[in-house]
Amino acid sequence: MEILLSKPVLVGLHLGFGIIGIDAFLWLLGELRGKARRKPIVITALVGVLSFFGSWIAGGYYYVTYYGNFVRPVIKEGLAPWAHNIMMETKEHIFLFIIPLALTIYFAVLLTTEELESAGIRKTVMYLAAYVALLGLAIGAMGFMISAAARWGAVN
Amino acid sequence: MLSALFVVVVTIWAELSPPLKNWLAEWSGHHWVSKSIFSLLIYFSGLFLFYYVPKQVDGNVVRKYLNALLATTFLSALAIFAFYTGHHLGVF
Repeated sequence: MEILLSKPVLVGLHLGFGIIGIDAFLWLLGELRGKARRKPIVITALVGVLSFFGSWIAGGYYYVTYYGNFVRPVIKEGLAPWAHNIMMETKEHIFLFIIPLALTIYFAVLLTTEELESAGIRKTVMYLAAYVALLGLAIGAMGFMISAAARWGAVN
Repeated sequence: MLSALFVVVVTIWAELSPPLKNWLAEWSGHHWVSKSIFSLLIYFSGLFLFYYVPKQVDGNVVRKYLNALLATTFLSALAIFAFYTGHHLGVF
């Protein structure tokens, strides 16, 4: 259990779950486009939701326990204080949209393929899935910049 | 939508008002954890409210609200990014 709460493992779990979540919603986009059967669509969306939850928990624990005391001061006094002031602050709050968005998509795909089509919302759900994936990628890019700023702050 | 709007409003407000940020921090131990919990509570409250309030809902209505959700979350993300950029640059 201790190793799961170590800093590198927490960051790894945060990133890993995030990547699975992004990939799941990209996969879902493909399945909706190809009008796949309901069961794979529902499972893919559920994997996406649970992965983002996992990313939220692992990242949140790391952020609350370690980031504020150990990482933030290094970044703010380093080469790129904007990595915290803009990137981290934006990332930690945008992330709060992802879970409700992912849940909304999951509830939408509980409809059958025929219901999605007859209600005229299949394309809209596709756009939402694409948007969640893009948000995830943007958050990931911001996380990379924050980590790099911390490394360079520590080195310098 | 409600959840996203809540996050934007409480984030900007708390950043400009230390007493609110302190209250959020005291509520759960960390301001971000409090915002996380409240945003989920608002989401699920809205979900139950709109599910159980009886009204006629067809595909057009659902599509309209899903499109509004897309627009709201996109603009909310932009608003948060713009706020923190301005805050860092000393604009506000």
